[in-house]
Amino acid sequence: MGTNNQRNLFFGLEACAPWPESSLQGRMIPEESRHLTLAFLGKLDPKPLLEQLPSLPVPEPLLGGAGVCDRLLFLPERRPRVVSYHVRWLSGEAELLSFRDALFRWLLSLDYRLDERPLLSHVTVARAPFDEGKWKKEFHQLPLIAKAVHLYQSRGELTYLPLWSLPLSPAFEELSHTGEAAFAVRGKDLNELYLHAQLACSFLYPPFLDYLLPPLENESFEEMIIRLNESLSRLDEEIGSPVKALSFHGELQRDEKGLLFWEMILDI
Amino acid sequence: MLRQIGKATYLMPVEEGMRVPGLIIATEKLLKEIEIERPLQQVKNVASLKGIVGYSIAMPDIHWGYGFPIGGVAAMDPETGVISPGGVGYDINCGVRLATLPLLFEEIGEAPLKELIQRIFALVPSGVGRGHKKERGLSERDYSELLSSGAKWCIEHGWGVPEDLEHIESLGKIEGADPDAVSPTAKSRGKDQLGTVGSGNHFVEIGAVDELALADIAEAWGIRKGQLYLMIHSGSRGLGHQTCQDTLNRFVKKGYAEGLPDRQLVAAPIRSPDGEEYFRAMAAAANFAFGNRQKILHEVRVAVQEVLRIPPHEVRLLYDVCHNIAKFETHEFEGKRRRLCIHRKGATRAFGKGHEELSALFKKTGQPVLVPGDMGRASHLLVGEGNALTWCSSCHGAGRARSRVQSLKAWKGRDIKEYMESQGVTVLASSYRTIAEEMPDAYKNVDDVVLAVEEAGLASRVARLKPHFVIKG
Repeated sequence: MGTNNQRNLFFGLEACAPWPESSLQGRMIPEESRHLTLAFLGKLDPKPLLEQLPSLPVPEPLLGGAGVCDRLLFLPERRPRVVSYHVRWLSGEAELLSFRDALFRWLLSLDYRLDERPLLSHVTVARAPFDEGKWKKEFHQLPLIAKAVHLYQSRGELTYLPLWSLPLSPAFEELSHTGEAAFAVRGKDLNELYLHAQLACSFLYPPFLDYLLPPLENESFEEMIIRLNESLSRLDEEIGSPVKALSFHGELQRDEKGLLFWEMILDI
Repeated sequence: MLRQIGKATYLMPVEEGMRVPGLIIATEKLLKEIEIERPLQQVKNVASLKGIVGYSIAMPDIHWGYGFPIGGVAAMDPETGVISPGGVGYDINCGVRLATLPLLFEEIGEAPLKELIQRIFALVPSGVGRGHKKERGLSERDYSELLSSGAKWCIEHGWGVPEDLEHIESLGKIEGADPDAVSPTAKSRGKDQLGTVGSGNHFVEIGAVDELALADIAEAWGIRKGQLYLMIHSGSRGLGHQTCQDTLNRFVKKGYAEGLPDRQLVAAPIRSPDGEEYFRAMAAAANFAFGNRQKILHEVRVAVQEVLRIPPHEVRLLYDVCHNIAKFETHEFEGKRRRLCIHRKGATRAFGKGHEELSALFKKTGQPVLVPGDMGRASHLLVGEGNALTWCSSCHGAGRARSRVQSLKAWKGRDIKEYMESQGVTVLASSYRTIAEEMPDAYKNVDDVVLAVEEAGLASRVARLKPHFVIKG
């Protein structure tokens, strides 16, 4: 293994959130480079690993999880060098941990050395120097979705280059709607789709996270839309909302991976 | 497949499921530029509704909505047809009003106008959740009167002058409103929102008349080149949204959506208790919207008096139009005068001269048709031509060319206020996101849209308006 080919490598989950415009102190990591580290490999030549990756066991369906950035972490605790958002997963956590276990087993079987500490779900957004107090003052909860697993190469200068990618079906993705706002929402079942629809609304307006509803019991798809609208109404009445209503447009369908799929159009 | 049948007029022949053909108003240029597939599917879906007569119509600012396309018009036979909340939209009686000041832009200069827009920004709440928190909310009695009588109630409370009424579509009141048909939740959402702009594409704008096209009509309406104008775009706020939502929920639960190509088209027979109840509630919400724009204009007049020392009655309301509404109107159809229920979702009434429903001034000229463009380029003042093919309807705006997401991404990280200043437009808003979503390049060029309307004979250009100061929601 030639020294010249060695790169700082790690597996990470691409994290997408409505990150606030950066007016805060710190060296900000570009949004497209923000990730959740799954397995740190250290300095290695990527070539052999890239050749081995086709044999990585991949679970199906690959629905990316979704969660909430619920608090700030300043890491490491003693002399913090980075600002991170802690992620509380609301869906897909078991699948994520199971995938990470499989990834670890596979890497260990190939004699890679790993840091096997439990996963601390967090996304680093800035590096020192920063003002902890200012970050804490401006913090608010954000929704977050996982869009892909990447083998990243750390390039320095706060950027990370994906060398290999495993795309995930996102819990939701914003569609280009010329009138209002629209999302393609996915879920393994109606309850997960319902949760993801709420998180999609919170992508447009994070205070919606305080209005997340308990799971459905035996409600139909139409009743689910009615419940979502009741929640939006309450939000608009209490604190105001740019999202005014959620239309009945769109049928509940199954996508090619067997996931429930709904094209959700919101009135802005 | 569309077939051209006239200037800027295309026919969509009847296909399976359609009861009537589609009629698309657009130039060849617009048809090439816009994403047309989904809105045309929606035109087709609307053509399947019971009791639709004539055509399922699309205006040149058509874009993808839900249920109806935005820029859609449909007329229903009241005896056999249906009324669809999705054919009105969530923001019931979203509309525009245009007022003029007795001054030219060049006479007054930028500094006092900057002060004026700041004062309006302070007096008229705008943006997400901005209501009149310090004022007493509307009581049940207020609601009962406002929802029944619309703009007139505001004028009786000192928020306007009696002459305003003749310059508002339907005299600022939709007949048949029933305040009791509006739910307590809807009333609660609207209670502190009378006289507020809201968010999204709503605005208050100050600008100057840039060009005159029909000088005689401009003169009759008191419009001069260079004159200052005020434009207000808002609707029925949370009350209207909730009224629409309550009805959609009820209609869906009752199974009215079964068999429709899109659940959002859900509709009840006009002559059914459900259809009649929706009309009564919708009319009440529409009256709230008339009152909302009336109160905003009042606050604007207060600001004008404070800053420019111009008395309120000299800020003259030219006209107020609805562009999300269902109304009963009489039209000539198949050789007979017929009472029809006209749905206009993102479309404006455009009665021509001589129409019996217009007040004396506009009977002589045709009604003003207000077409706001984007906040950078232009808006238009047109006169209705009373085109029978479209049930006397015209476009309502420029129509989006780019989604909110695309616009936000395109402008992320850039100083958009500074950019707009460089274009000669001062923008005030409580949200960066709203400005980014509403940047001029997110919209089609309103000049192209108006050209289509004019070529098709729906309305004619009277004046082009240039915005200089804008408050966005």
